Amino acid sequence: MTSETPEKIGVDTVTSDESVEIPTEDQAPAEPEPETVEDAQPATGGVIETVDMDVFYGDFKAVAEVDMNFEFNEISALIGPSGCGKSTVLRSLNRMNDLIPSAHVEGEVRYHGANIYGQGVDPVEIRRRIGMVFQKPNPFPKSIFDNIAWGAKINGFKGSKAELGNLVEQALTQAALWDEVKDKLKESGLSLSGGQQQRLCIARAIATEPDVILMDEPCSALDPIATLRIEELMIELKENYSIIIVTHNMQQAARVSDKTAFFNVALDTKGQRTGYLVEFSPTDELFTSPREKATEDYITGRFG
Amino acid sequence: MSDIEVTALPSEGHIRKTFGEQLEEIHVRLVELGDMVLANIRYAGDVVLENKLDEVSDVRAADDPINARHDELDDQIFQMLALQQPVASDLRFLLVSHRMLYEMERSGDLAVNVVKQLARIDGIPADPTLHSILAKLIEASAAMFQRGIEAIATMDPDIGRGADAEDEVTDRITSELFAAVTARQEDLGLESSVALFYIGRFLERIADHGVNMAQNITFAVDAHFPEDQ
Repeated sequence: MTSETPEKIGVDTVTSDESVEIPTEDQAPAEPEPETVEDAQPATGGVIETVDMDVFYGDFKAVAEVDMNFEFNEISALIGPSGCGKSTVLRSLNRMNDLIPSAHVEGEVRYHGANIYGQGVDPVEIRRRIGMVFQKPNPFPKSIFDNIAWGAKINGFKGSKAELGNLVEQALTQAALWDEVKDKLKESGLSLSGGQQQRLCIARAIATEPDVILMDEPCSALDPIATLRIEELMIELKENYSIIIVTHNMQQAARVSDKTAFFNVALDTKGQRTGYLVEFSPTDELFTSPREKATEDYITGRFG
Repeated sequence: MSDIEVTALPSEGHIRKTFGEQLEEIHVRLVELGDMVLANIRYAGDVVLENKLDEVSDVRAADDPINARHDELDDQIFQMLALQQPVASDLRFLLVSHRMLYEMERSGDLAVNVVKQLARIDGIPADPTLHSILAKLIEASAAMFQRGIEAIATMDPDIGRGADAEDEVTDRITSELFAAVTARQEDLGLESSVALFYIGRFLERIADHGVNMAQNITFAVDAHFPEDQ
């Protein structure tokens, strides 16, 4: 990441009046007004915490009783067999599941201590604070510049044109894309390679100044080189964010994450397949001596 | 060749069938290698106790297939680490297997070194006390090495837990040998005394390799060494 702006943006640029409080009707009690996102971190606590979370699609319970704590400056990987609910869990963390009419969540998802499913919480604000990057790079069919500026603008960016330019540059720099695109900001985002498009999407997510980035299989459509660039980028980004990634690539989980969660599927009496969290451990432990037999069987390929 | 039975690794039911089979193949071939080394340790012991100077070259020759098997397994493990990207118990097993290769190969060399010392001094002096201590040491050392092989064959973590205590026998007999040689150094002369010290030292090392092997199996199974408990 070479750039004219030596300082990384991110938490430091979040101003105090743009603090992390979620607009709820019944405010979480008496926490001192945080100065910045970083200040908002309790010394030990996580950015996002799920408390006894169940996720349903209609009557079907897709995931049961998930208790997890995601920390700042950490990459957490969610792994597990198909249908174990890891993507469902990820999408529940920024209310992306709201877009599926039958989906609902029981239990709580606490973002800086406040339940994001609480009454009066604005899901759009939640998604701004908790950004998301998808499996297939999905830039808007707009210029590279607009891909970032537009997202920031609809999310209430009110700065001057120059400030907008700075924001775009900073986001692209942080996403390790600036040097490659700085001379062609007016070209379509779709003209970029797959790996560049994915970094553009990461830049777009960063531009709304979140402190959590969710990534759903961000490299599965990319070649190994582009994958490694994204992985390197994740490791750089965790300096300023909490990153949660769903991946089917266990080596990727092993390479990049600090903690790994293993989800599995259980059949209930009605023959429904419900996902549950088996183990959430430091990655080096999970891949060398997992606590649970089921984890061992899955990661070594003895599943069944 | 072997009377050691190999219990299959808990890799039954591996979805990656080929990988499971490859792991088991390494397991079996490793035990076979251990058995080859053990046989040569015992052979070297016989050669020493019976002053079979004409068979020294046979002990040395028997080390060649050991080294060849070592190289093959070394290659096989290296390939599996690179291509299969093993984790958890599979990773620990392969890592430990690689350490075992070293322990076994070194033990094989030590057996050869024992008979080389014999050849250097043209046979062990006929002293009944020395002879009986040497016989005990050879037996204890081979037995400890065999315990290491048993640990691998059965993947039994308990053997490693008790290995240090079991090895005290060998250490005690080695000290006994050193004391006996020291007491007879005038009669034995410098060269024979030194050779006997070396032989004692080599045999004691072979037993240590047996201990290491057993303790490595404890690590492969439990994910920590016995000392860390």
